[in-house]
Order: sequence, then C-alpha cells, then structure tokens
Amino acid sequence: MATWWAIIVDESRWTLMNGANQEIARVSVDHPGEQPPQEFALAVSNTLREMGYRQDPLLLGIDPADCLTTSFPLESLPAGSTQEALNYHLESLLPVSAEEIAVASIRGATTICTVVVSPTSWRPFLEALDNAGLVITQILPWTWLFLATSVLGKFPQPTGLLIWQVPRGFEFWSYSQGTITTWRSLNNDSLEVVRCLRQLQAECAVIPPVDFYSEDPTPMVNILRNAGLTLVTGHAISQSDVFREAIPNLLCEKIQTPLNLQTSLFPGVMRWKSIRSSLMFAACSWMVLIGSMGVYGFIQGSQFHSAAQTLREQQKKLYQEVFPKQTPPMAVRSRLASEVTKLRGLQGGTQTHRQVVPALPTLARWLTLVPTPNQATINSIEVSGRQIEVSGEVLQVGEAASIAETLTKANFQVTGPSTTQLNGGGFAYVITALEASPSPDSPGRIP
Amino acid sequence: MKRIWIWVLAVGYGLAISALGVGGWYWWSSQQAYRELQDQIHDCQDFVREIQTLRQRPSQAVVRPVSTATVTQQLENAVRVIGLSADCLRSIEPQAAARIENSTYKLQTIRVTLSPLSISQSSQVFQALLTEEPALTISHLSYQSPSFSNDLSDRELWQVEITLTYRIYDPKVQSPL
Repeated sequence: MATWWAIIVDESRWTLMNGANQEIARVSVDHPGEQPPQEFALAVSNTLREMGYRQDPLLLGIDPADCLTTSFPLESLPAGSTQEALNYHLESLLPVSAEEIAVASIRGATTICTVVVSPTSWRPFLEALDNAGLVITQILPWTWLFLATSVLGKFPQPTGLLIWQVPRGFEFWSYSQGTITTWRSLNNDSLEVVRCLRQLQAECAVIPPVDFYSEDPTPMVNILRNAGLTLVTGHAISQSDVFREAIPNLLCEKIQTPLNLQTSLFPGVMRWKSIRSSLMFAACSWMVLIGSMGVYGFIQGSQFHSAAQTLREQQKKLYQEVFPKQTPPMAVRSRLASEVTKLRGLQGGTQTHRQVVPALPTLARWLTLVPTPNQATINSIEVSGRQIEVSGEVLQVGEAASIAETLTKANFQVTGPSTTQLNGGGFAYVITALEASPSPDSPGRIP
Repeated sequence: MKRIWIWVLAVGYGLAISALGVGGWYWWSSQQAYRELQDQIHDCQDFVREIQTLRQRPSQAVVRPVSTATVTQQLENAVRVIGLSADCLRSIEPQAAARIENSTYKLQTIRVTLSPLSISQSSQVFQALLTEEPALTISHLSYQSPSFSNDLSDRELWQVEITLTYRIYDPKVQSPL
C-alpha cells in the first residue's frame, strides 16, 4: 500500500498528514510558541505515532517566509554536479555556510530554481524532530509543493508568468521554453508587483501572460490591468484550500508520478547524524575494546593461574623429597626454610662452641705429654674445658717441676707446681694448667 | 530509540568496565602469584639441596631436652659396649636447661658418677657415648680416689665424675619483659 507522511507548517498551526491511497488523515497541532523544540518535537512524534507512523520518510513543508528563493543558470554549475555541489555554489552566493542550509531545487532546461531554508529558525526544530525519531527526507516551502506539482506541470502556454500572493509577499515564477526562473518578494505591497513587472518588461521587452493566484485576486488583477498589463488572469485560491485539498491530493498523485524535486536537508544536520553515528560507533568500539581487554585479562589470568598450579605441584614434589610421608602444607617455602634454619641450628654455631669447651681433648693431651713418672703418684685429676688440675705425690720437688716444665713447653699456661712436704717423706703437689688453645694435633681421645 | 541506545551503551559500558576491572584484577593477581611462586620454587630447590646436605652431617645439638631415661639408656649402652656392668653407674643428676645468653641455644648439663673405672675404660665409655650422641659434650672430668684393682693387671681404678653437656637448639627466645 502506497503511503506518504507530511507535516505542513503555516503561520497558525502544524498540520500532520498521512495518505494511504486516496485516504487522507490530518491532525493539527498548535505552534510551539515558547515550548522548547525538544518537547514540541516529542509531542509531534507521539501524535504521528498515534496516527500509525513507523519510521517512514516524512516531508516537511514550511512557511515560504522562512525561505530564500532564487534561480540561476545551470551552466554556472559543473556538469553532472551533485546536490552537494549545488549547496556549495549557493554558499558562494549567500552569507551562510553550506553546512547551515537546506536546499530544494527544480531543474529546468537551462536554469535551476532553488529555495534555501532559513537555517537559524529551523535548525533547532529539525534537530529536535530528528532526535524524536522522525525521518525527515524532504524540506521545502509548501508553495513549492503546490506550484511544482499542480501549476507548473499543467502550463497552458509555453511562456508565462505566475504570481502567487502568499501571506507575507509574492512568489514569482517565470517560465519560458522550459526555462524556469523564480524569485520572491518579501514585501506585501501590491506596488512591489508592478515594480517587478516593469523591471521584467525592461529586460525582456515583452511581458508574458500573467496568472495571478490569491485568495482574492480581483484587486491585484485590476491594479495590473490599470498598469497596462492586459494579459492577466486571476485565480482565486485560499491557503486553507491548499492545505485541505490541494496539497494532500497532489501528494497522493505524487506517489503515482514522483515529484521532480531535489532537496537536501541541512548538511550540518546530516553531518551531525554522521558524527553521531561515528560517535556511536566509536563508543561501541571502545566498549568492545574495553570488554575485550577484560576478557583478555581473564584469559591471561587463567594462563598464569594454571602455570601457578604447575609450580605449586612442583613445590609439593620438592617438599616430598625431604618429607616423603608428610602432606605438603600451603606454605611449602616457609616450611622448608624453617627446616633449613632448624638443621643449621642443630649443626651448632660458633657461639655455642665458645660456651661449651670439651674436656676430653685437654685430658688426652695431658696424658700424651706427661706420662706419669714411676716415682710420682696422681690422686686426682680435674678437667674443666681446657683447664686441668692434677694433684698427687712425688719424692722430689724437681719431679713436679719437671712436669710443669714439660707442660709449659707444650703451650700450657702452668700455675705451680705448689708442693707441700709430707710427714712420711715426699711431697704433695698440685699443678694447674690451662691449654692456651686447642692443639691441631690433639688426639681428642684418651690414649 | 535514542534513549534505548543510551541505556544499551550505559549497560554495555558498565559490563565492559566491570569485565575490565575484574579481568584486570584477576590477571594482576594471577601474575603476582605466578611470579611469587617462581621465586619460591628457586628458594625451595636451594632449601631442599641444603636440607639434604645438612641431614648427612652429624647434629651438634638436640631439638629438645634430653630426659634422664635417655641419658641412663645411653650410659648403660656405653658401659655395656666395653663389657662392664651397669652397676658402675653410681649416680645421674640432671640439671635444668639454661639458655645461653642472647642465643637460640640452651645448655643442659647432667652430672654422672661412674666407679670404679680405669682411665682406659673411662676413655672407651666416653667414646661410645660420644659416638652414640654427637650432640653431647663432656665439659668436665674428675678422676678421684684411685685404688688398685684386684686382678693381675695392677690397674688404677678411679671414681670418675663427668659433666655431660647437651646443646639444645631452641629458637623460641622468651621476651625479657
């Protein structure tokens, strides 16, 4: 089923239209006034959706007063030029950038008629409508909708001039042998039309037949006839008729015979859409990148985790090499370090050796150095570490002295001998000796 | 439509950032654990080698105080090795273990009296004792009251008092407070 959607904006209201075959639905909403464009666009969107709108192409016909109209020869454009080239050509003629204008054009044989939508007043609404999810594919003044499809397609004569009195001025269409020229007068004074026609007469010598369209064409027709323009025909047409009947019917016909209109939305809007798509793409890419980094972290982490498990198994095997019957603890390294510390401790340390001096080597050295002479007896031997004290009896004091001398030569620090004469003859002696340092050739055992 | 996209993006970013956070943390912690284990495994290999080496050496200390029963058993074994009766063990007096100042060791001394023994026999007993317990040190010796044996060897027999010193490895140093 062929359907079309259009929004026609005039001075008093926004008319939302939908046509399916010959059935036409209309809903009017008041001008936004002070309402923010976003809220108003949302309200329009909701109304359209209630009418059954589902992301279909939407035509926006706006007040001609919001448009700038001009025409110029096609030869001023490069051959096969695109709509974008046309925009940039217009940019050279207008005090605004190409990104700021929306253009509609009708190409004739040698000229091109263009209308430029005033950017400042419509940009916020266009962006708001776009954000509200409305797909606006064409934007042009509603007079064009009527003229381009109704009047120009049915020219009765090969040459003519069409003037339409619109609410705030006059719309001029000159057609001659397939060449269409259009311009607008923003002055609502009827003398403006006379002045314009005089200028045209000066340029073309002959003024072609004039068709004048207005709600009440008679006064203007009389003025023109009084000014000497005899070939003037008046056509009564009201704006409400245009909205109520003409445009919807034309749009229904347009579905059958496509309107030969070329339009472009604000490139800036398109650019923003493109930027927004790019931003969305970039945002999604970053999101995927961040997510991928997270997943990569997981994968790397699990690889490290499994490698760590292998090392733990290796640790357990090492542990069981030294503790075969024990279950490996969680902290294998600490347990092994503790065992090493314990074993080192059990091997003793220098501090311990200084504290505990074995007595046996000193005794063994004494016995090796000083074999007991036949005449001497030993009553007691005391050995503490490297100190030895021997007491006994000798017949002669010299024998005890001889023992002391032998010890002294063997690097003992000898005290004595102290001797005491015994009543029954002989001498009691005591020799105390300190081995200066353990001798490297000490036998370590008693001979 | 736009709001849906914003929600999708918000939820997606939330999930992505969460995944990044959790994944990053998991990666970092696993890597840390792996590096730590790598270091540990080298230490463990060194420790195992050192443990095996140290275990082959005789201990110079014991890990816990030696009981009287153990000492008695060691002394009886030593005197039996040289063919003497256990009756020659006159007394065994263990002393309380005392820590060597500022060290991880304690010293436990046991005073033993044996009688009668010749110097040669005492030497054999000492050697047997030291062979059985390498951590033992004979720190004091006293030979007293010699007498002659009744056999034909004309040997001097002595009353021998010895002080056996055990080194106890005990790293748990109590706080002076």
